[in-house]
Amino acid sequence: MSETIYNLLAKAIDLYVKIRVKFDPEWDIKNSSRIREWKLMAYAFSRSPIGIVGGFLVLITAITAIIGPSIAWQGYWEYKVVENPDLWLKPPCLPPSCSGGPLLGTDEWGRDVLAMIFYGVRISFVISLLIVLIGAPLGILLGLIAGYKGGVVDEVIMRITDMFVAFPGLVLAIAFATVLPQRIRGFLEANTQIRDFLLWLFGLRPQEYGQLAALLSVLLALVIVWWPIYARTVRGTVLSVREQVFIEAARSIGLSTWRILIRHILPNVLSPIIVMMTFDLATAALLSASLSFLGLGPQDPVPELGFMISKAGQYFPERSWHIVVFDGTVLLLIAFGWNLLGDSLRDVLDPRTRRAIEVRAKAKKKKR
Amino acid sequence: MSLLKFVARRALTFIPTIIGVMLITYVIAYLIPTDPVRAWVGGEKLLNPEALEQVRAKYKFDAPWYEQFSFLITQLFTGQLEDPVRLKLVVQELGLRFPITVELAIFGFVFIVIIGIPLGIIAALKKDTPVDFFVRFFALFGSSMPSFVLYYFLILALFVYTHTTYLAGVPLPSEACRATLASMPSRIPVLGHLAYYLGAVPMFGGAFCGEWDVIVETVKRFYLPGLALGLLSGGFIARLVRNSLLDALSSEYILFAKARGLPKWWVWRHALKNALVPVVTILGLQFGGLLCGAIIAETVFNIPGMGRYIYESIMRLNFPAIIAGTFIFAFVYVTVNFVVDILYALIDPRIRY
Amino acid sequence: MGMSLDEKTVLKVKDLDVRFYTYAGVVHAVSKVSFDVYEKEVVSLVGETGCGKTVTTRAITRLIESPGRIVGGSALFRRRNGEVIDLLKIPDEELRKIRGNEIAYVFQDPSSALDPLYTIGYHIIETIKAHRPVDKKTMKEEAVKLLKQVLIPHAELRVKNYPHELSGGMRQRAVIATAIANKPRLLIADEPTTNLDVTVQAQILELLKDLQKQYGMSIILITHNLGVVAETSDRVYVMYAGKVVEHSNVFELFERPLHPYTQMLLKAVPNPLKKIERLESIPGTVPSLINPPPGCRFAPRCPLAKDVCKEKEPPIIEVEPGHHVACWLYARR
Repeated sequence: MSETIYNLLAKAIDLYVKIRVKFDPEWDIKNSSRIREWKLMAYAFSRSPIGIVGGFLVLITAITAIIGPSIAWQGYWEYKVVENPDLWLKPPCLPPSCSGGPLLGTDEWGRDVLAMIFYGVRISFVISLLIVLIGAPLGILLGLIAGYKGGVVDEVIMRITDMFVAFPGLVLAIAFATVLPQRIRGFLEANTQIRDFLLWLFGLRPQEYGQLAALLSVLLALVIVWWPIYARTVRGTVLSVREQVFIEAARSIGLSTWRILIRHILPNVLSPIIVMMTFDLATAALLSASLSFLGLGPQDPVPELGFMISKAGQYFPERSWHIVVFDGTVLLLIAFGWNLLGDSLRDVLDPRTRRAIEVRAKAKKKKR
Repeated sequence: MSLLKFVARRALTFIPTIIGVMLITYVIAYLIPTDPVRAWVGGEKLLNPEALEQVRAKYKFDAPWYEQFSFLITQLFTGQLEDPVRLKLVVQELGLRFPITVELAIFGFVFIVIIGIPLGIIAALKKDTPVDFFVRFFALFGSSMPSFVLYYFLILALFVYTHTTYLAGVPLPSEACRATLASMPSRIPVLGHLAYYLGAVPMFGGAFCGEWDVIVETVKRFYLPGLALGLLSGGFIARLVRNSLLDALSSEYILFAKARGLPKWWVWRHALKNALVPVVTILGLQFGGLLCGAIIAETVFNIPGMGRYIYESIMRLNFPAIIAGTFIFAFVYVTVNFVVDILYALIDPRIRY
Repeated sequence: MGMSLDEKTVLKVKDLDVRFYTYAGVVHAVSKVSFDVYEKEVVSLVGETGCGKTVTTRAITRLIESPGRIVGGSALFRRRNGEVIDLLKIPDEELRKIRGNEIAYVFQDPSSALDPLYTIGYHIIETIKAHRPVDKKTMKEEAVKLLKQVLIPHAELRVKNYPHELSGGMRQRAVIATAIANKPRLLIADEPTTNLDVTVQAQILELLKDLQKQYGMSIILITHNLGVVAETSDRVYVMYAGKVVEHSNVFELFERPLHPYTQMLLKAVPNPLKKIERLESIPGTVPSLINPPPGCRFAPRCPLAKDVCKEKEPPIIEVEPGHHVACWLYARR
C-alpha cells in the first residue's frame, strides 16, 4: 500500500521536474538536493498511516464536494413532504433489515438526508477552503510587511492584530456574521456576475442569493478572525530570519525588498505555515458549521450541515436522531481528514522527524 | 519586587487592549443594518407607527453613527442599556446569567484537567506504546468533533439508557441564602464583597449557606456538558502535557538531579513543575475559550447563561444586546488572559523581566 | 570476586562495556574500558567528541538511560567508611545514597544543569537534605558558606538568585558548590569549562584545583583541550572510539607520547612560541561504532598501521612504569 502511494507521489514529483526543466534546462541539476528532499518527504508520508488515512478522507471529501450537487437525485429546494406526508422525518432504511426506502432517512421537509449531505459537503468544503485561502495569505502578507519593514508600519499592523486577537474568536465571528448579511446582499445585487459565480461555486440556485449573502457573511466574519494568527507567526519568523547574514548579503547586491521577501524569507516560513493551514481547514469547516448551527448562516432551503443539525434539534432525539448522527459524522470525518493530514505533514516536514521515520523504515526492511 | 513591576507593566497594556476591543465593537456597531426595529416591535402586522418612532428615537437610529455608538457605549457603561426585546436592563440579565456561564466553565475546566493531565502523564511515561497512540488519536478526534454534535451524541446516549433528556433550569440557593449573601458586603467590609461575588455563582452560594442539595443538583445538571467539554479539549491538553513532560524529563537538570542522588519523587517534582509551566498558560487560555464555547453548549443543553443570551439575541436581531454581550465576552476574555499572564509570572521566574 | 582495592585507590573500573540499542544498529560506545583513580589526584579523560568519555563517566554511577545499557564490567569504589563496593551491582537505593554524596558530577553546560524554576540556594539545600538531614538554619548557612568557597561575591544575596540571574561563570560556580555540598570523595567534571569564556575557564580550573586540595577529593576531568590537561592533571587517559589507547602521568604523556593518535593530537595543538608552516590535522573521521571492524580502531587513520593492526586488537602494555599503551608498535605478538 505504502509502495503504491510512494510511487504515485514520486511520479508526480518527476512530472513536476520535467515541466520545470522545459522552461529552465538546468533546473533539475541545480535543485537536485531539493528534489531528493521532496522524494524523502513523499517516502516519509507514504509510511505514516495517519497521513494515508487523512489523505484518503480528504480525497473522498473533495470528490464528494465536486460531484455532489451533480449526482444528488433530489433538488434541495424540493419540499417532498407537501405531496407525500409519509416522508416526514422517515428513519433510515438500511439493508439488510429494510430496503427500498431512503438510505439515511428524510428530514422534516421530506428530503433524502443522503442527497442533502452531498450538497452540504460541497458548501462546507468550499467555505473552509475559501476562508483559509483568503485569510492565510492576507495574514502572511501583512506579517511579511510588518516584520520586514519594521518601525511605524510594524507597530500599526501589530496593534491592529493585537486588537483582533484580544477578541475571542467565535464571539468576533458571531458579531460580524450578524451585521454583515444585509450589506453583502446589497453588494451581490449590484454585482450579478460575482453573485452567479459564487452561487455556482457553492452549488446553489440563483433564487438563493439571499442565503448566499448569509453564507458569505459567515465567510467574511471567519476571514476576519483568521488572518491575525498568520500575521503574528509570519512576523515572528521574519524578525528572526531578517537578522541572518544571507539577507544582508542579498540586500547588499541590490535585491529589491519584494524579491527578498518572496524568494528568501518566505521559504523559511513555508513548512509550519502549510501545516497550520491544513489544521485550519478542519477548524474552518467546524467553525462555519457552528455559526450555521447558531442560525447565522444560510437558512432554508439551503442544506448546510450545521444548520440541518440545528433544525433537527427540535425533534431530537426520538424523531431526528438520524439527521444528527449522519450529518454530524460527515462533519466529523471532514475535519478528521484534515487534522490527520496536518498531523502527518507536521512530522514529514520537520527534517528531524523525517530522518527518524527514514531510519526506522530502513531498519525494518533489514530485519526482513 | 520585580513581580509587582511585571504586574504593573502588564496592567498598562490592559487598557489599550480594552480600547482596541471597544474599537472593534465600534466597527461592528457601525455595520448594523438599518431598521432592525421592525423585528423588535413585532413584525409587520403589529406595526404601530408611533411605537416604531418611539423605539427609533430611544435608540437614536435616526442620528449619525457616531452618536449611536457613543450612546450605546455610555449606556452600557452606566448600566442603563435596556434590551429592546426583553425589555430588561442588560446589566440585570448579565448579573443573573453570567454566574451560570461561569459555573458551566468551571465544570468544563475541571473535566479538561481531570481527563487531560493524567492522560498526558501516562502517555509520556509509556511513550510509543498503544496508550501513547491512543492519546494522539484522542487529541485529533477531539479537535475534529463538532461540539454541538458531541453534545447531541451524549444526550442521545443518556436518553437511550435512562430516558431522561432535558433537565430544565439551574439549581439556585434559597431566597434566604441569597438575601444573606446580598447583605455580606455591608456586614464585613472586604471579605463580605468577596463572598457576595463568589456566592453569585449558584454552586458556591449554596455551599456558603450549607445548602448541599444545591450542589448535588448542580452536579447532576452540569456533569454532562462538563464531560462533553472535557472530551473535546482533553485530548489536546493530554498531548501538550505529554510533549512538555518528555521535554522536561530529557533535560540536563533532571540528569543533574539524578546525579545528585535526589530521591525519585524529588526528581519527578522538578520534571513536573517545569512541564506544567507551559500547560498552565494554555489551560488559562482554555478557560477563557470555555466562556465563549459556552455559547453552543448553552444552546444545546438549554442552560440560561450569557451564551444563550447571545444566541437568543441573534435570533431576534437584538443588536444592542448582541453588542453588549459581545463586548462583555471580550472584556472577560481579556481579563482572563491578563490573570493568566500574572499566574505565569508567578510560576516561572524567568519571565519577570 | 576480587572486591579488594589498594588502599590508595578510590575507584577501579575494569572492562566497562556500554552499548546503545538504536534503530540504526547497536552502537558500541564504550568497549572494555579500564581505568583507576587514586586518592587526592586529578585524572583526565581526553579524546575527540564521540570517543566515549562522557558515557564512561556516566556509566560509573549508572546514569545511562535507554536505549543505552551497561553490558559488562565492574566499578569498584571505596566508600568513606572504607567499604568496597561494585557500583554497577549495588541496589538502586544504595547507589542513590552515593550519588551527590560520595561521588558528584559537574556537567558541561551550567545553564541547563540548574532547574530554572528554583534558586541556586534551593539546589544546594536540596542536595544536602537528600543525604544529611540537618535543620533548616544549618543548611542555609552551609549554602552561603559553599557559595563563598566557590568565590561567588555577595553570597548571602546570591543564594536567593535564580539561575538566569547569574552569568555563565557564576552559574558554573554554583553548580560546583552544589556538587561539593556533601564533601564527595570523587568529583567527576565533564568538560566544565568548554562553554565558558577563556578568562572564566582559567578561574574555574583554579577553583577546582583549590577545592581538590581543600577537600582531599579525587577529580576525574573530561576534556578535549590538551591545555587544560597540562594545567590541572596528574594522570591522563587518552580515549579513542570507545577504547583507552594510552594512559600515563601527565609529564610522560606530553614529553614522550607513545600512541600515534596521542602524537597527532599533540601535534595538532599549535605552539605559540614556534613558527608553524602548516596546521596539522588528523586525516579521516571517527569510525562508526555500529559493528566496529576487527583490529585496532585507529588503524584506518593511522599513518603507521601494519597488517596486524587491521586484524587484531592490540593489548594494553606497560611500556614504562606507569605508562601504558594499546598499540602493536609496542606489543610483542
